[in-house]
Amino acid sequence: MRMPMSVNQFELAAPQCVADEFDGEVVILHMATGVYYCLQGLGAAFWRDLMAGHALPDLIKAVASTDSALEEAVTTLGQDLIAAELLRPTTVNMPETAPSVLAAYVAGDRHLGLDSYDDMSDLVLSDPIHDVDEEIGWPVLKT
Amino acid sequence: MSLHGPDRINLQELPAWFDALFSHCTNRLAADALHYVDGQIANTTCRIHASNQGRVDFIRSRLDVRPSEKPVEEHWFSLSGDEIGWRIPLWDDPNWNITSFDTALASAGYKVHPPFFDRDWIVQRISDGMAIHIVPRWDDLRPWDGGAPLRWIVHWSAQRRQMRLIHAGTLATQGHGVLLCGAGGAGKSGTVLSGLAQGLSSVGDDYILLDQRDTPRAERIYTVMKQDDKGLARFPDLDAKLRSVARNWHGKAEFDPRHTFPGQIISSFELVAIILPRVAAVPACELKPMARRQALDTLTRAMNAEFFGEISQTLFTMNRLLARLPAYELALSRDPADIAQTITRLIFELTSLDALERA
Repeated sequence: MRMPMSVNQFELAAPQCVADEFDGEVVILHMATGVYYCLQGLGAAFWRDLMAGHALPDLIKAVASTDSALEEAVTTLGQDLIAAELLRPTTVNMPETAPSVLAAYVAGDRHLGLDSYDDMSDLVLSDPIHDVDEEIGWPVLKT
Repeated sequence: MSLHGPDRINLQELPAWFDALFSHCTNRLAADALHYVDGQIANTTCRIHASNQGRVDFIRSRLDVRPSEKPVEEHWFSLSGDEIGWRIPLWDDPNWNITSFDTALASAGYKVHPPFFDRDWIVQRISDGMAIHIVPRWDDLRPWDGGAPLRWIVHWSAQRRQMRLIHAGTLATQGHGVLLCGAGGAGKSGTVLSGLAQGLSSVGDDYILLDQRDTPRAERIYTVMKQDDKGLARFPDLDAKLRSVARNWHGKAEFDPRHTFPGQIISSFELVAIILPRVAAVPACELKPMARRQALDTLTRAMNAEFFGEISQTLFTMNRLLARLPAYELALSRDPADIAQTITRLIFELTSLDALERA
């Protein structure tokens, strides 16, 4: 999905996407593709900041200016989140607090990759009207 | 007796029918026209109403209804349409999909079990947790309903308190234990029986309550266990006791384990691991750590089979659990003592490790 350059703020593309954060890990499930994604460490902090209303270019700049070796990785993460259609544009007040990516960086987190898994897509995408065998029950998919 | 209400219904008409049904139940409740039992279930003080006393007694015999002095927080109803004069409509909306179904009904204030089965409605009013399971006649209940009556209502009630019902067996010793998860036929119930026969404890072998608000805990919710004749043959004493018990729709004997294993069916325990058993008939049990992603896939599939239509909640719940607990694959031998010893050893190892880490 291409976004106009003027779009700086994003939110979760609900309801087609749902997300959960626990123990420092963010899991995002895309209900239309059945793929789920995981973010950890610096990537999870980056996601938290995006959801809090920080502008994407500001976050990329914050990470890149702290550690230039991460510029490519953090730029790729932003592009990957958009390409996977996990985000949609929004306009909200900019948060007054500093982004958490910097604290995460100081804490030593460096993982910025968006890990994706499609091993459960058959389950997520199964259609309860047509796939369920009424004699056998859910979720035995009809062949 | 002429019955009240439509014969068929679609998504647009459903909220109004639920409004009328809840209003009817509230009026009957005010008139004290239903039978009921009060108690605490899944950390909720609730009143379970039914349209006849026999149904109340049956539910009480299956659900772990504990005495409670607290005021009633939620009202749950198990109703037969013919006993309250209501026609139960047939779902008649060929173009429905689960997302628009959930969204439309949530905006009308209801959480509803998807209409996979004819004239069988399970619905919760979101504002106060009042919930109804209604069928035209008791004979119309699905054959598996008897093993865990009101399970969706219990599940939804638990979710209101950041807990959930899960499909798993359990074994514990000295307040710590394991979840036994997997698809039907994986060996969960046989493993639980093996442990109980060797003196371990359990909170159940089918549906149990998972509480992850703090340290993960398993809690008892139902008071029935099931085992088929082949499985029972491994436990001659139990087999003899259950020989005269009628078999359920699945050919399994259902029994109250509190009577069969007195003192071993406990209320709750702290979880230290997840075990995915596999019937393997190996000479001795083989326990191996399982990769988190593989365990997540297996657990999510197994849980989704029981609570379909909740894939995202199921995935997230299992992911949270696996973030805190190790998972193991257990290739089962045929020897109940070997199975129990393998699990006991694991619980002791993990509990000792945890105690060392805390020190």
